[in-house]
Amino acid sequence: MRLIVKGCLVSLAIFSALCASSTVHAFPEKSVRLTVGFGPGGPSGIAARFMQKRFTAVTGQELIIINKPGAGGAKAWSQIKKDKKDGYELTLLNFPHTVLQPIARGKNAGYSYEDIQPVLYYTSVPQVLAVRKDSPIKTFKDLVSAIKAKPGSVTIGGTGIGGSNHSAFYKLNKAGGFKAAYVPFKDTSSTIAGLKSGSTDAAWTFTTQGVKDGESIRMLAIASEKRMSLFPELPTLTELGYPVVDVAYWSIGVPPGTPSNIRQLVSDAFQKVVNDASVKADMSKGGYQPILIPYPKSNEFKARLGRDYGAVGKALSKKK
Amino acid sequence: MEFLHHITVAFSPYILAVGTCGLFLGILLGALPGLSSTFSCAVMLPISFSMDPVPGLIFLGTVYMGSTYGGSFSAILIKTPGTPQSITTTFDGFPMAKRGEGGLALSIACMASVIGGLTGIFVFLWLAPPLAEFALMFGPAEYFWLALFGLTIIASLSEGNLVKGLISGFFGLALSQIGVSVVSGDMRFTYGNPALIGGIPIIPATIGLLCLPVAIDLIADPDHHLSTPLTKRSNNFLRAARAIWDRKRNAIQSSLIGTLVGIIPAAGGAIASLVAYAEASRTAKKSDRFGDGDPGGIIASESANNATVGSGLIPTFVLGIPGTPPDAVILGAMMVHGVQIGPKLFTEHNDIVLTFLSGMTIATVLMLPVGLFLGRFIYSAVTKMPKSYLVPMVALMLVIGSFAIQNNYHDIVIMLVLGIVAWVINRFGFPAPPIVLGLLLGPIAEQGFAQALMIGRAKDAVLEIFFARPISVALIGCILAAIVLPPLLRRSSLNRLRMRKNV
Repeated sequence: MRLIVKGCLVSLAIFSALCASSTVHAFPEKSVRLTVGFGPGGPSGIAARFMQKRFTAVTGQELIIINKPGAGGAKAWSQIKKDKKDGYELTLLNFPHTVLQPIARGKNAGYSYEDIQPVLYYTSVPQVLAVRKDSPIKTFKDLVSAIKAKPGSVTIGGTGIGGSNHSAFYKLNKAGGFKAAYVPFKDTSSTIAGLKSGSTDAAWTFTTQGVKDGESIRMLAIASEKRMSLFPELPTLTELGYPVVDVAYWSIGVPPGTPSNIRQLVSDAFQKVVNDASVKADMSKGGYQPILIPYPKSNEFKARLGRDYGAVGKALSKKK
Repeated sequence: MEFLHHITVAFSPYILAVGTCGLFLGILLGALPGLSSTFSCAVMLPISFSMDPVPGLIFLGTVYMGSTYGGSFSAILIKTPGTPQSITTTFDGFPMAKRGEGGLALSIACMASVIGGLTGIFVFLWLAPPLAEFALMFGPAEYFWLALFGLTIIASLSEGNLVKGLISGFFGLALSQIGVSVVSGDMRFTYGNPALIGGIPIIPATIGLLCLPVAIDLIADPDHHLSTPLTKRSNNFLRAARAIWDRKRNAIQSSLIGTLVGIIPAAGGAIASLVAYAEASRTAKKSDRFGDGDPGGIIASESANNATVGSGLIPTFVLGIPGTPPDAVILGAMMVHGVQIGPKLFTEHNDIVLTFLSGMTIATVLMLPVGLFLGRFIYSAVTKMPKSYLVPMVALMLVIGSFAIQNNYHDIVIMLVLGIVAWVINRFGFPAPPIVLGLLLGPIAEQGFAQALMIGRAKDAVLEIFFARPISVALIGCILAAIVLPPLLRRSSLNRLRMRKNV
């Protein structure tokens, strides 16, 4: 009898050892679910779809994308805690949104800064300040003089309150001592529609829109550290004398409490996909800047963004 | 006649197969409660990535067209809009089915969809660049007035008791306030519950409000779900064609309204069919009974929502602004496929546009036989099925439909709670459809109002922005007409009646 029990235990041990080793060697072994907190056609939805196109070819498994738009992404992020910590239930994280929202909304945010666990930052888009093509405002200087001529009368659109557009708006106002009216829209495409229809004088948006809408909008300045090779003519705000840098980042996120070996596996697998030449080319063509900050460096980067945006977040929530 | 040339190109077996598959899948997904057109297109997106850009786009476009029409199946047969676009189809479709004319209602829906669908595509074909400008005439104030106009149909939906209809409408508006406010960033009425931070999702709410009461009544009521047709072998095809011919003005008017609303960014098929329905019921003859099983209601709703499919692509292709929610998915697909949008697409890559539209035209025409066939099949299945099978199946579909889009358990709870609320208040004479309208139109009205106010204040022109723009003025005129005219007409016809009696 004891022998049988022993035998069972031994085989169980061997079996589990085999299982463990097999998970180490192959990830993913089944389809991977990625939840996106925005609709399928916006900058976040597209950032996820770029990977979907090549995911199967690179990893041999399917990438299933679930769009859960709502509350500026918070609907999806508030559910991260409940996901399985096995690396197959992932969420796309937007920065600085996930830093700013918990500050502005407090315990109503549905999630906390600690729930946000990035394992691979893989793409970014700088923000741009744009006007429509036939606007009398031709350059950034024109915009500044319009703002100064009648403080508070120039309307600047952007997506939501307490998101990256709002933060860029706040930073530039602070840097230049400007006073303008911020008009929040539901999503990026309504922000652009508002700009093109002349409802707002200018808009804060992303370089992706510069690619898509290049013929009908004019970008005045970019909030990145350096000029972007896709738009060599576009000056940075720093060059123009206003040191404002505000870039949106996307990262693959795991639920809090996920073991570090699983974080590493997820990071490695997605890194292979993002490194695929065609994925990189698609992203660059679309106005995205491929970056690569894998686990565990992703933790430090999150801490840096947390510090950078902490003060902005407090200011934005106080302003209301 | 470049288009004719492209029609022949599009008649290749490959394109035909892609289009038919898309249509078939679209109709089936659309007919399942909860699976919206946006969801259907998003689900089919990976498949389209495996095709070349043009067939891929035709595939997505036909899925969209099919699902817009498919939504009418469940709208008519179980009072559950399969997609939000067919919310208005339930108003008259279900009463018709209830009195045994479900087969006729389905045939009417199919033909109206084809008429609307073709209208939208042809308008795109010939008028895309100039009409795209129309999309740019819509600012926040116009959205506000458009939403208010949509709300006026509460009056025609609550025949008999306007006060109760309005109370329902306000309840819906109140529900629409839950969640994060777009314009202030505040968290409203969530009571710390993360399930509510995204607001009340429209699809599970609609399923609960409209269909759950039907499902409960199915159990409570010993009668058959739908009464069976009296005349055994009536030819629905001819009767439907006749019904539409008699209401050709309605069909044309609704197709055009759908086309225009489709061009307005982010308004979409649900708003289009509401507006078309409001106009059709306002201009209807007195003998028509809108809201009580009038074929005109189905014609208005279905021709308008299918017209948005083609016209919604106008701002999408020309301006890069999605005309309707599923167009956002199609736009995303175009980006990933590397198709550059914008006016250049019409000059330098006209081939892509023309082949795409040819494929869509053929698929829309194919919708007639495919739709009529499926309609006949599904109708007889639903009427003949014993209740002991039908009820569990409907119940299962309601739960899956609420869950499927976002994989959210909360959505099932929301569906059940609102459904029970609707069943209870129905007992007291409060109609559920105005709640759905409030929920759908509330956010549009609120955001439009607040944004217009912000812009107006910045420019010191609050009154001008609301009352001095041409489209705003036209919409205000429509709203006044919708509110003031029906009571006046009723009074004058009463007077006439009295005068006749006196003579």
